Amino acid sequence: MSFISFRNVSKIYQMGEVEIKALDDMSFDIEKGEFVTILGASGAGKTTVLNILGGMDTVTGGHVIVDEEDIAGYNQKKLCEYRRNDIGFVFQFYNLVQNLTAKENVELALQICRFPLDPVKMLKLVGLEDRMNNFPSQLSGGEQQRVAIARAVAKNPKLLLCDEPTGALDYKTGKQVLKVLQDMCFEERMTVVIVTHNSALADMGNKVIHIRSGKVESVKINDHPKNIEEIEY
Amino acid sequence: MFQIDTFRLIRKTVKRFLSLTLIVLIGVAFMMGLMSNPYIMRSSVDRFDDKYHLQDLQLYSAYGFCIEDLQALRESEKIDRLFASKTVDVYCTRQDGDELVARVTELGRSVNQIELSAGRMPKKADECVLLVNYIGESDYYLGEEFSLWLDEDIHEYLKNDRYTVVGFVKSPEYICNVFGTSNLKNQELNMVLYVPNTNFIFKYYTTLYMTLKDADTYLSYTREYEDFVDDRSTDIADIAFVQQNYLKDQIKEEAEEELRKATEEFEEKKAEGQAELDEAAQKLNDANIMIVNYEAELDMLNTLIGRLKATVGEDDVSDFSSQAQDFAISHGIDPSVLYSADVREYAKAALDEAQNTYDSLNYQIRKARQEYEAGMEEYKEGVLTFNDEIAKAEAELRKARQDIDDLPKASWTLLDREGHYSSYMYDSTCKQMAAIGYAMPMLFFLVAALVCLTTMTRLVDEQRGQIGIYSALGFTKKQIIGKYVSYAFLAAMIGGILGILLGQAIFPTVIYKTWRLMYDLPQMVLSFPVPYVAICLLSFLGLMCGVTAYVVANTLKDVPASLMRPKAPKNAREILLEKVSFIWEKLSFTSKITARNLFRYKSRFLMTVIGVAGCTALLVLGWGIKDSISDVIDIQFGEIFAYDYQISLENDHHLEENLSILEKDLNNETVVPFMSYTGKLYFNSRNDTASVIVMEPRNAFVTMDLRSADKKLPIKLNNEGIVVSQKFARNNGIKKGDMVILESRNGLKAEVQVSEICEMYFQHYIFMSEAMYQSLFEEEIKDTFIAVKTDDSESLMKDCGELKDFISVIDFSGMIDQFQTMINALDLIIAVIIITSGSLAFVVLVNLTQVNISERVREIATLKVLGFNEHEVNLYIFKEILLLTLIGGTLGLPLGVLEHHFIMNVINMEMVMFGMNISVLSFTYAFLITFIFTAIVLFFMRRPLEQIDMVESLKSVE
Ligand SMILES: Nc1ncnc2c1ncn2[C@@H]1O[C@H](COP(=O)(O)OP(=O)(O)O)[C@@H](O)[C@H]1O
Ligand SMILES: [Mg+2]
Repeated sequence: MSFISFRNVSKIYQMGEVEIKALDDMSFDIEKGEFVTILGASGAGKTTVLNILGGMDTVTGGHVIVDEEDIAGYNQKKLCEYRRNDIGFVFQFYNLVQNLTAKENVELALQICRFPLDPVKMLKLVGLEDRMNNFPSQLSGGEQQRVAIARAVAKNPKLLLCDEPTGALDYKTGKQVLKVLQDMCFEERMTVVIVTHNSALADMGNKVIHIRSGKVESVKINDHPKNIEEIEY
Repeated sequence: MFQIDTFRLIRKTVKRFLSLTLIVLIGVAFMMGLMSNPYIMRSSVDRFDDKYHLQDLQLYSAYGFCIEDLQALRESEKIDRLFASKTVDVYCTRQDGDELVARVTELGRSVNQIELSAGRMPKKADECVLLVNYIGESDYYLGEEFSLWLDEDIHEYLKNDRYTVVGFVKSPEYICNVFGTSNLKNQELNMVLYVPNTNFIFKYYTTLYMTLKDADTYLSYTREYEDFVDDRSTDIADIAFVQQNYLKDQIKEEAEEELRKATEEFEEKKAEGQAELDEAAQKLNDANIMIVNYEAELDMLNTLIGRLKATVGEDDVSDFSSQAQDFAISHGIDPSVLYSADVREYAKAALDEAQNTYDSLNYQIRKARQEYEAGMEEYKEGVLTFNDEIAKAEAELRKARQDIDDLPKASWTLLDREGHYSSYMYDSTCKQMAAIGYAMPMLFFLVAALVCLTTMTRLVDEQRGQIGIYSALGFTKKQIIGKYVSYAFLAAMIGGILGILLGQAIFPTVIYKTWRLMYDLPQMVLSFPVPYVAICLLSFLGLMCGVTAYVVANTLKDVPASLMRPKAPKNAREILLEKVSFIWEKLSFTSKITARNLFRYKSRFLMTVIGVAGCTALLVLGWGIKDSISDVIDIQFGEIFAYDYQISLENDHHLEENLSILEKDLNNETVVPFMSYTGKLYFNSRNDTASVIVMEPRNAFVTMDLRSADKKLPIKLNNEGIVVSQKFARNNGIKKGDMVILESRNGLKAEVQVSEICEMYFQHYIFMSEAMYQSLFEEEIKDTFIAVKTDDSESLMKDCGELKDFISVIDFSGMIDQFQTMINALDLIIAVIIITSGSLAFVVLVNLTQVNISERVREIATLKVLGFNEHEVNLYIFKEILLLTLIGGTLGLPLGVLEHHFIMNVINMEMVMFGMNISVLSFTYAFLITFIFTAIVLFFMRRPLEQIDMVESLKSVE
């Protein structure tokens, strides 16, 4: 049994008269400690997959098994628990709380966590120990995103989900961020799923899932993930 | 196109639009209601005044007025109506024995007319209609008989001294429930009787009432009216100046004439009396002469008798003296007889006869002398009486002369409505209301400005992109600003119009109803005075549009390109508190966030704190007013006056007996006699009346808890001075240690020191010891009042039945009842305050939460994704609001105290000293209710928080 198993998941948005099938009978598996990249064009359904995985959205049909529990059947309250304890989320637009310093943003996550990691250590891990007391507005996009990763990781989640983590970043800072994520997976043994429309990033993980129009097009296993520094995009 | 866009914007931001509308509605309602209220109060009464022709002017004169005076005044074209009234103040005894002071005046008036409110108008000379306070609540009834009396003969003034009440009336002349003082020793006037004018048998009119032409086109109590009357009354003052001596001259002439006649009469009588006395003296003189003659005769007779006796004893009778012979001849005795043989015989007979004559003559003399002496006595007495009478008559004449010389200066007093007690009182009440009406709405204006500022700032922030597009498309700044200004304009217009309607429907009605406790007011006339409508609407429209224009113009400073990018979030900064690390470190994580947020948005912080503080302050005010009035009851009748009943007696002849009757009854805890009168006090060219209470210090200690106004220390009556009640002292500017002049019961004046100012909440009092009174005025103390403390009113009433010279007994619980109704009526005002303050809190808090939530949708969504549960998310947002409520509420308490002080000082009733303390309970209520309001707002704000969709919010920045 895989750590995560997406089974025949469908998600239909009802827009008035029109039904939009964001996910159409989608299935795939993710193993513990894997670095998974979900690839697809804009509108393919990547974010939808991630939202469902993250317990932020519900499915229309199918099962989502995470660590032997079917979260598709969870109610709001259980989903909240799930997000709280099992998920770390990195957003495309960082979503730091503007009014909190970098360190405080990390601490924010710890308020609700059972087994949190040390925020200072986390910030060190993402290379921002010098910027701990800066407010988001005083940080660059990449730095902000790294704070966001520190925040997500500090919760000590089972699963780290990243939606286009470099989408709003330039090439260089994007690479820095991706490096941090790779380190999380390969050094801290954390399961990481990142979503991107950039196929150049396909090689950086253990597994690449291509999706198109809400369907899995292909799943590739990559036994020798490339170090992010070697990838050019 | 652009306009459609405005409407679409409204539809999209309905809640925000509504909150703008609502704050304007509340602000305008409050402003309109309170500001136009004095106008409504004035115009309602003005209509009544005009309908029943309330005097514009009134003339008094010590001599009264005669027909010629009226004719002279009729010359003036300025006067519309002129009414000469005969009036007399009398005592009135009701059937149940109650004694009151009544003013009796005429029916059939052209000025100060009356409106029949119950019963009918009099048809017979001994019927009357009655004007009293609180007819509904009083125990006066139709068919009741009054008997009127005066210390002098009432029939010199009125034909009838008994009247039957056939109707109740109202008059604009007496709308205040205090009628003023009567001419009877300044005693309070209790009622007015209108009787047919055939009852008045005195010659001159007491008062002249006038209305001026066109004066009714002005609103009473306004500056315009006052100027008009001032202008017109100069004419009348001129006439008064000329005419005022007419009646005096006439009266003086008549008196002179009378004196002249009296003097003549006196002279005549004096002459007559003198003549009588002279005659009597003559007669006495004559009598005296006769007595002397008789005595001479008696002497001679005595000699004769001696001779005769000798003759009878001798033989030789030849030698009769010629004297004897003369005597014999004069007595018809032949002298030859003297020589006759039996002359002895003869002499014997003659002797007998002479002896007889002698005796009778002697008797006559004695009688005459007695008569003379009696006459003499009488004469002497007559002279004395005569002199007495003359002296008396002369004194009388001199006095008459003096009286004529002393005739007071003839001077007419011309009073306008400021000199008319009811109008004056009502005007000052209206002025007080106006002061409140201008001060209070400021708060709402300020809050409205802040609400508008936050709401529009947020709206414009959200609309940045839109604004950028318009700007890029080439719309001018003006056009863009116009779009948002028209948004604010619509909100302000809708809110303003509704606010005017609502404000007029609530505030004047409630306030008018409350003032009915003090005034017998006519039906209220609700109107929408244009100037006030304009002020309220324009000020709020201007405010909302101005603030909006400012906010939009500020945003438009950015170039279109930067407008289309998301606004750089407001820079977070370290707040001051963080510098105080020992506090900051102790704060919990969420507290730190809350603290940061609070100080980040200053206008929002201000809006909420001011709004919530205003809400709490209003509540403190509401309950504070109630406390102030309750103090009057609780402290006045519970502590200061520790007795329950006050018995008044006609005189002190049977005081000891009466006291022992009351003391025998074991139900009566305390029975204390004292003297009381209404006395005038003079200080610094002012004078004022108060109830003077003269008591034994020991007795005062049992019946009253007198304590100093400032330190609440007990006061003992002593011989050093008098104790003056607080409000009386304040009204007249009297301070401890001042020297004042006080009148005694009989009107003697003496200077005395004010030794203490005592705490007192109702009516004016002057206290002093009996010894003090005696040493001041050297007058006897007449204890005609008895204070009784008892729980058993029934047994006391029985005792009263046995008392001699009993007049009445006052039950203080009656006064307590009167205040209680006043307090109950205030509940209505408190309800209005709660609703108002509640809506203020609601608008501000809803606005704050809404802005907070809408601005932090991403933040909240992030929290949700991080796994914050519903409760934690609520707390994250609400903690801030609770803290603001706490700050606002805490600031609101002292603010409320200030407002309370302001209002109580403005209301400032003549006789009542309101308590200034607000109870802890009131503060608690105010504080708790503020929090309840907050809790309600938060309860309803949970839903929008819950509805924030994580997925939706995180997609991208708009
Ligand atoms: N809340 C929503 N309502 C309606 N349609 C949606 C919603 N979210 C996503 N979709 C639709 O589902 C499809 C997949 O969207 P998404 O997962 O965001 O794509 P991707 O992240 O790959 O760009 C798209 O066609 C999108 O229009
Ligand atoms: Mg996407």
